[in-house]
Amino acid sequence: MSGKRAAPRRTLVRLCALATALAIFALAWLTINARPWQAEAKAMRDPRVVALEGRELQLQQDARDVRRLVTERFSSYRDRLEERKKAIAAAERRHRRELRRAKRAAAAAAAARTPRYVTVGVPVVSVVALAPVTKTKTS
Amino acid sequence: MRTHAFEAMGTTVECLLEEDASADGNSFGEVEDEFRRLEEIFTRFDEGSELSRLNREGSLEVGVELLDVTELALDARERTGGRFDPTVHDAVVAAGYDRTFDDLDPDAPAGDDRGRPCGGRVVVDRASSRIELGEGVHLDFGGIAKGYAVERACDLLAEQGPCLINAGGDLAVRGRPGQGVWPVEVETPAGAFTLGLESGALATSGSDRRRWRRGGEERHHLIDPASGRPAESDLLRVTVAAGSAVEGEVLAKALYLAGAERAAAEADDLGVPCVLVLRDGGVVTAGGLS
Repeated sequence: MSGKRAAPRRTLVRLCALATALAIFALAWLTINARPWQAEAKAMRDPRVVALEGRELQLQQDARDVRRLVTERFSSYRDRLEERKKAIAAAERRHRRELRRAKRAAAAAAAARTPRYVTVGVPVVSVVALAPVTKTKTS
Repeated sequence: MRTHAFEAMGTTVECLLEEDASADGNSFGEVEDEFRRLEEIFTRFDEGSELSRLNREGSLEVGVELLDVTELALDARERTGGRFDPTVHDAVVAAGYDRTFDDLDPDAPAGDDRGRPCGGRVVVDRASSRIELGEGVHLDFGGIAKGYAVERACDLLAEQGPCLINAGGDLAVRGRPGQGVWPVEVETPAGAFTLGLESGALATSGSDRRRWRRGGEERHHLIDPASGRPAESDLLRVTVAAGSAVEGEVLAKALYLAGAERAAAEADDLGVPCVLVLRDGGVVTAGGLS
């Protein structure tokens, strides 16, 4: 008789133990999941770290500004360089033109200085009775 | 009258300067230097001369003297209908005149006897100072360079006073001497007579000098550009009075090639005073000279 009553009691005990274990597990889960240590950590952050983070953000912003400025200035420099190159090429073309003109002018001046002995006048000659100072012969 | 003589351009150059001119002693030296400078440009017997380089390369940027003489020669070619032609180089060489006259063998064996007709293309570009020769064209300024040098030298010497420069028969004057004219002797078979030159120049061309033999045949340096061979003419020698020594050289050569009858007619038409000496010993004056 006592043996028949003991079996249901063991089953009940096991069920109670299982329910208790589940309750403890659930409670532990909820506790861990709430991360109570984080709030404490937040409340306790080092002000130097906060300052460094702010400084980092500021530096990143400054770097972006500098990159934009450099890009703008390089673009402007490139445009001015192209204009300068065009001006130099135009000046070189002008110089070559002037040099050719000067050469032509120099050649013309030299030609003007050089006498042209083709039609420089009519000779004045006659037969005379004077002692010759020289003679002409086949050259 | 101060005189000075020197050798240049294969001939004797004679300078006369009116005695009372205030000449410095260096005037004749300047004339000599000018002749030698121009000879270095125009000689075909020196491979380093500007003319030789032009003949070798066919196209060359040259100095003003070579430009000027080339233009004068081309102008003369046109005005004489080709009787004067600077492209006679190959014909002169083929005739045997391939070195200075002093070095020439007076009786060389016969060579290639074909004529070398002239008249090739020559282009002068003043703007670029360049001369271009056509294929196979070579220039010889033997018939004009001396006259050019005489004129240049006369311009130099004339700064010292009235003067005459005579380069082997091609002569020019500047100013009048005390007696009013420059008396110049002209030889003829009938005897010499004297021309009084007040201004301008005298030049003589003929086949009586610069002669040699090749293969037993007589040759001379006056080339007929039409045949490319030494010219055949009933004239022995032509003396011409002209405005300049260059013009005189050109006219003397052109009249020589024309032959006696035509030369006299042309000289009369053009008013070119000249003395024509015929091979048969006759002497004809034309162009208003009497």
